[in-house]
Amino acid sequence: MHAVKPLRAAAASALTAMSVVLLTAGPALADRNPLGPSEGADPGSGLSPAATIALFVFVPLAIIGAIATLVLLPGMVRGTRYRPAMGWDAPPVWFAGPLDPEAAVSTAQPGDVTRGGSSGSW
Amino acid sequence: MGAGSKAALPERTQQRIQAAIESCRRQNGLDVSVLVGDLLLDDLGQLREAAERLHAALGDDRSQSAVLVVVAPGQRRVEIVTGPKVRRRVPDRVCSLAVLSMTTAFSGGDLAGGIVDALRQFADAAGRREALPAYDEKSTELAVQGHH
Repeated sequence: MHAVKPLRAAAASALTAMSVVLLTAGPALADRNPLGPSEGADPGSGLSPAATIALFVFVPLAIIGAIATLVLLPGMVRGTRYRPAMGWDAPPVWFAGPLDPEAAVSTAQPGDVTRGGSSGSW
Repeated sequence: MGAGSKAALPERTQQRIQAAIESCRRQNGLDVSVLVGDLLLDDLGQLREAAERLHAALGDDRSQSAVLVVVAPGQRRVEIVTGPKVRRRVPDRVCSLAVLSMTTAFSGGDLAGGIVDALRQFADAAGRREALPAYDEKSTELAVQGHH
């Protein structure tokens, strides 16, 4: 049931997009204006179907693509980002740690030193 | 899971943490160490114990006077461990406030910002002292502790 919904939603938006394009381009594809040119109007030769499609399909697509690129590019350049819910699989990095961390950790003796500090979770 | 096959702490994040550590050493004479990564534990309740062990691993001298911050992004835990000689300069109260700013920043996805903020709070609390020499081995990737 859940797998069907995205498909349906995609089909619905595709259908809507296609009908919007066709309805918009329809008058341009018509041979002549059924109402006739209004008085004093001097209509030009009209757009060819190729020019219509270019104007109403490819130009909007180019604009959408440009905006999408501007939105997505900074995140792609910045690389992986920490998301608390997505887990973490990067290897640990120790800043200003011991020179040989593995040996130091395996031989470390916490002893009976009283250490301070604090803990937290998020 | 996670964010891809070649996941690593971003270069920019590492630079900011290193710069903050250097600033603590130079301006405040405060020895701070930061570990970012999940620890291999059977139970998250052992995290404090593990963090104190890591603090001891800093060496005999440094485990007296260093502040260790352990950030486990996958386990969503943070631990601050202070040595006995530095507890007067960085009291537990300051540590708790630093933990609070870190958890706030981390839950918003800002690792570097939280850590840098915490280090700044340590520095403010610790006041100015004679500079410590720069730490030459800036960061070490640990293989032994792997990922969780």
